[in-house]
Order: sequence, then C-alpha cells, then structure tokens
Amino acid sequence: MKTENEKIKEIFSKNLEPHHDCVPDFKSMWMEAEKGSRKKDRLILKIAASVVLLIAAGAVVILNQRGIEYQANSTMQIEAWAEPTKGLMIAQSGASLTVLTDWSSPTDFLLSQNQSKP
Amino acid sequence: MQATSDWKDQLELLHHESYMWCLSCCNYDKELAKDVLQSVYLKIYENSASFKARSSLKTWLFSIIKFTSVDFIRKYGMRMEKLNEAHNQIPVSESNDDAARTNLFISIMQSLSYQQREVLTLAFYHDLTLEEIAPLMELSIGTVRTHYERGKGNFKKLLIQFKLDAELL
Repeated sequence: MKTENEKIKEIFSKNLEPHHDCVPDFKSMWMEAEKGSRKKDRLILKIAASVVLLIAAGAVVILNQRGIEYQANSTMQIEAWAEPTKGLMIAQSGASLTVLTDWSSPTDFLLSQNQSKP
Repeated sequence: MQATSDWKDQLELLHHESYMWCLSCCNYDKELAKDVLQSVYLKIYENSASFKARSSLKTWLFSIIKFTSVDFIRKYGMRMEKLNEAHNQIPVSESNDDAARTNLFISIMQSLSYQQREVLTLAFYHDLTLEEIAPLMELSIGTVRTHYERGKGNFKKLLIQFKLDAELL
C-alpha cells in the first residue's frame, strides 16, 4: 500500500517525464561555459590594453608639450632671461665679455648666442 | 585552471535534475531554463560560485540555480505575479494524451504560489527533505513546513478539481 506522499511523487515523475527529452546536453553546455569564460577574459584584457594605451598616449602628449615649452624658453633673449646669475654680468660692467667666456656656468653658452643676435 | 573542473563529473551526474529544477524555477519556460543553467555553469567555471562543502553539492547547486533564475526573471522584467497569473487560466482538458496532461499539470503547478511550487517540487520530485530545503530557499524550517502543508493541500484539491491523476490519491 502506497503512502500519500509516494502517490504524489508518482504524479510528479509521471507528468514531468515528457520534459526529460528536452534536457540539453551537458558537455555542450560546459564547453559553452568555457568559451564564455575565455571571451570574458579576452574582453577584460582588451579593456586593460586600451587603458594602458590611453595612458601612454596621454604621457607622450604631455612630455611633447613640455619639450616644446623648453625649446621656446631655450631661445629666449638674454635680456629677458630671469636666470639669477644674470646679475654677474652687470657687476662686471667694466670687463669685456671675454672674461665671461671663462666663466664656468652651465648656461654660459647662451652668451655667445646673445652676442650673435642684433 | 579552475578547481571546479574536478567537479565536472559530479555536475554531469546532477545535470538532468539540475535542468528539471531550473525548469521549475523558470516557470517551465524551456528557453529561459537553458539560459539560466548556462549562466550557472559559467559562474561555477569561473569560480564566482564556489562550493565550500557546508551542504551537499546538490543543495549548493540547486541554491545557485534558484537565485540565478530569480536574477534572470528580474532582469528580463518578468514579475512573480505574472508568473502566477495562470491561476485563472487552467485549461480544462478531457484529452488523455501526454502533452495535454503535462500542460495541465504545469498549469496546476503554476497556480500554486512560487514558494509552494518550489517546496513541492524539491520534496516530491527531487527527494529533498524539509531540512535540506530550508537552507536552499533561505527560509526557516517552520516557514518551509507551512509552504509544504498548504501547497500539498492546494495541489491535491486542484488535482481532484481538474481530474488529473485524482484516482491515484
């Protein structure tokens, strides 16, 4: 004699049986999951690479701009030059510029450039 | 490589039951059930859902399926009320062919509340005990027992009302 619960179990399995045919294949689903995971990894890598590329491009642009600024300043007239050692030139008013050529300042090359300008 | 590939064989053994449970969670929508199960396998493969052996593998897997299907249903805008709207739409069929019987059975199941349907499916189709169902559904054992008793009563009434396997009861 079956209990009530056993009878209900029988009703469940009997009526859900037609659905057994539409159970998808496990192997193909698992392979799909593997593929999906790889796709996701590739997407993450692509996003990371794009971010790195953007940062690198930004850095190049900034450095380039700084270089342009430096070049513009390097051709500056000595009169407009705000270098603190400029005062040394005034202090040696009686001296000829040849004295200054012996001067060992790293910026002394600017003097010859200044002389060549009208 | 993911540690979950070790469980692949066990998942394969549970695949049939997983799909049937998924089907029940997705209101017997076959396509949605396949999508949900695919998403569950992806989660497991990527270790975003990892088994910590606090429960059996089956209970853990069923729990992921349940919550993933809830997410999918929310995502695609299918409200729970809509899932239960079949309440007044049970087809009265005198036909004895299997498809009609299955449709009637599904309609009867759909007319139960979401929780009652889940508890009955887990208890009568997947042979889980109420103690195993409670953590899976994140409900207390008392609440599960209430859903079980009420669901069983409603289910029996509907079987008799629509003359589906009523002779078995």
